[in-house]
Amino acid sequence: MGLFQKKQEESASIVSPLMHEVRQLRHELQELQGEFQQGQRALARTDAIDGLGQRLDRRLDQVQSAAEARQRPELEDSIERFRGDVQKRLDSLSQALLTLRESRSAQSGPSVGELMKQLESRESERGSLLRGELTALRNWIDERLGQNADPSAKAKVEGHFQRLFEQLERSSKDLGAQLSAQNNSLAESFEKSTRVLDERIGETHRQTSSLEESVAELEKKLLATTTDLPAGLTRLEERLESQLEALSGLRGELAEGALSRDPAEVSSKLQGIESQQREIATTLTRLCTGLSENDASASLGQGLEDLKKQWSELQAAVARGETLEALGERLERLFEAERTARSEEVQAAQADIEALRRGLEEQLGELHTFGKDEAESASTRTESLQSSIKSLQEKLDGLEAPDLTEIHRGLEAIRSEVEHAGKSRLKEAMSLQSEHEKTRREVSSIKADLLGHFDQVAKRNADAATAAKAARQEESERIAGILLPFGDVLDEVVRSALRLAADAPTEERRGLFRRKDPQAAEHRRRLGSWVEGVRLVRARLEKILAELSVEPIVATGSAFDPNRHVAVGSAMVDGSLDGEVIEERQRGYTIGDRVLRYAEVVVGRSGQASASKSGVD
Amino acid sequence: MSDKILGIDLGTTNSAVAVTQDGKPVLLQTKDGPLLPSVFGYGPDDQPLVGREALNQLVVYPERTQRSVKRLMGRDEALELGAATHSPEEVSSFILGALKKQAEAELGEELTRAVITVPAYFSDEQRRATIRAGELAGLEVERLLNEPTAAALAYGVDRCEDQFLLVFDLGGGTFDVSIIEKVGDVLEVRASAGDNELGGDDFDERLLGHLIERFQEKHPDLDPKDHPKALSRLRQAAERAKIGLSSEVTFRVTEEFLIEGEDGEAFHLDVEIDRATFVGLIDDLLRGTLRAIDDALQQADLEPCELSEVLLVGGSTRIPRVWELVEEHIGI
Repeated sequence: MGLFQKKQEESASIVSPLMHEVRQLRHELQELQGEFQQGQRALARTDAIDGLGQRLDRRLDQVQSAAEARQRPELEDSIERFRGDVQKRLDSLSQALLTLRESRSAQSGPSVGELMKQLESRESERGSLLRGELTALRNWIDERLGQNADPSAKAKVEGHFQRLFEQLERSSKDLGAQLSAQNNSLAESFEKSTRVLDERIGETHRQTSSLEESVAELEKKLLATTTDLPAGLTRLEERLESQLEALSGLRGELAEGALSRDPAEVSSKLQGIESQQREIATTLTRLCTGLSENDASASLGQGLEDLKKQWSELQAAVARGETLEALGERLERLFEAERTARSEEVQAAQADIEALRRGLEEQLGELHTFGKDEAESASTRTESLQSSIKSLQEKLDGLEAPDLTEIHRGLEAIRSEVEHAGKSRLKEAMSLQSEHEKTRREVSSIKADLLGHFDQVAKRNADAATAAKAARQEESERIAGILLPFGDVLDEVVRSALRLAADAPTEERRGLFRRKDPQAAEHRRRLGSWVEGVRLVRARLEKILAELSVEPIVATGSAFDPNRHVAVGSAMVDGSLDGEVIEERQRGYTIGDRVLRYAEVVVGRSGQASASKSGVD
Repeated sequence: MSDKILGIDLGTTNSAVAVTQDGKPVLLQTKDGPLLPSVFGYGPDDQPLVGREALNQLVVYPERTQRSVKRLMGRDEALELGAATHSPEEVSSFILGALKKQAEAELGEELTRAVITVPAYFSDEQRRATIRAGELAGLEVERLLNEPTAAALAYGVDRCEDQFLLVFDLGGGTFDVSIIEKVGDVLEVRASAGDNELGGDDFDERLLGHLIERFQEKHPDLDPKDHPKALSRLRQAAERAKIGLSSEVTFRVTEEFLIEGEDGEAFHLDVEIDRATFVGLIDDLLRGTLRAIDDALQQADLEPCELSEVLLVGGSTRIPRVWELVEEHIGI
């Protein structure tokens, strides 16, 4: 026996830490799953925005460096690409928002209904369980009352039960109403969250449009700067160069005194220069007019006006016979001024780009913050939902010991928690719940394994117990096999002694007289006492046998039963005793439901019955 | 339904059933232990009884109890048992049916195929009757196997080279000697002899007579035969002594208060028997078995030296004197 207990304890000591470990692992797994999900959700939101921000940064850097290097065609191209890229990004962002919205509106609706349905079905399940419990209890009490047969107590208990049932029905109905109200409020909150989402999307669209406008403006400015102006300036430059060359050639000729030989030739050359100068003036005028039409080139136009004015002065100076060097210096100064103006224009364009960049960065920052907030709030709400689900589960588990007030209180708490949790998180709650279900299934499969293990242990114990029982019975049979012959001999001793005592003379005979023999009477009494002692010994032996589950077979006086008796002889009797055991030669014994030794008996047979056996061996 | 085949030893006194498990024969338990008494009868309430219960009522209801039906097999005889009448093969079928049922209970499946052993000397008619008995019991008798052949197979002789063997089978109530020739994988009974009415029970009787004599040496006026209870006790004591003397050289028989005199005086038996005395008591019976060996050898036209092996089978061959005599006689 001690061995089995020890085995059981050993099994328990192995199983209990295993169970503990399993619980711990379950817990850790749950935590990790929660963290992982939160991380994934946050990443999904922030990744796209971060990527976009990085690309914008890179693009802006490119634009800036391109502007600095004055690679206008490339800059133009970059801006075009950048514009396209921004447009594409914004499109995909708004598309993502639309998809998100659509998927939410597609999924959340049914999920709410499903959850509500689940809650309702659980509630009804719980109700039917409770009703079952109550009915069972009622049956039990009915049974008890039936036994006690006290009608007043029965009526009283039935009254209690009636009230209990009514209370249960009422609370079920209340619960139903509360659930439907809850359902409505959830639907409202869903509508509200959808509206907020719509507004958010609209806002994003507006931001996108304004961004597009800024880009278009910037593009226009840049285009203006990069098309008309450079071409005109280049041409001007070229003409100024050729003018300078012509003037320098003229100056050389003058220095060599060639002109002094033919004043007509000199005059014609000067006229040629003059006509060229007029041409340049016309070009500048045209350029000025073109620039003055452009807002962005106002300052440049002003500069060119100045240039025109100075050119007129130059013409006047030339007419006055001023030196050609002074003319060259003035032209150089004019050129320098034009250069400065153009540089200022580029800087203004850069400033615009910078401003645009800052605007984009701000928007990016907003988007970042929005994504981060979104992820954080998702995580917070997920946690609160997890705790809600957990407490819901705990309450469901606690159902095994039904307590109406406890359950209703629990339902109230769940309801308020669900209200707090909000509609947009129901989907996550559902997925968490399904994960929880999965975990529960795993736990119950582990539990089943453990139960199987327990069953095996129990079976092994049972087998061992059966084997031990068989071994005990075998041992008992062995001991009984030794003891039974002693019992037989003691039976003989008692029988013989009783006969001696009965036959012992109590009277003395003298001639015709008889008288009591006091010595013989005393002897007989002593013999009787001795026989009693032997009988007690015999009884003690029978008691020892009984402790070994060895019981005597009652034979004498009962009908002959070949399953318990072995006939060792027959004796003629009258009809009434036919087939009856009339003498027990040796006592028989049973052990358990088995015959250990058949009782040896003599069976009575009447003459009539005996006659039928004539002729048979 | 199972493809297992039962092996049934349908004996004169007792029967047994076995199956092969993992290539080895396993004896199955019956309700009466490994051996089921080959007895059938109708009980006090006309319920059919097989085995020990039937044996229990033999003394008081012999007219409706049948023992040793094997000796009647093949005879066209109607056995009246109480109100019913059965042929010997029907009675055999009841015993086979009980064995089948108990084997099924033991193995937990239905069993319908069997091999049944018969004595080598059984006639064709006796063999046919045995097959019919099997069929009546719901068994498909795959084969009848000669008892000495079964013994030879059980001892693994089939693994040796071609040879002659002698099977010496001394049971509780019958004695058979068979000579088996092994050619290749075939075992054939070449000769058989024996005594249908000789066995361990006869040795018990001799010892019982000796115990009565020893008692009367002290109490010449008392005859245990007049005291059924005393006789029963002495018969049990004789059997115990026989078994004891197979392993011990002496055996003490003590029966206290065996007989009670007219005046209530108790008479006891307390004697010691040694093995030599026991052998002396049964010497003539044992020598008779040697003659059966000679008969069998003569039938087979063999000299003792041509035998390569002798198999001793049956409970009574545990008596050491039996080995000695057979060994001396055959010379191996």
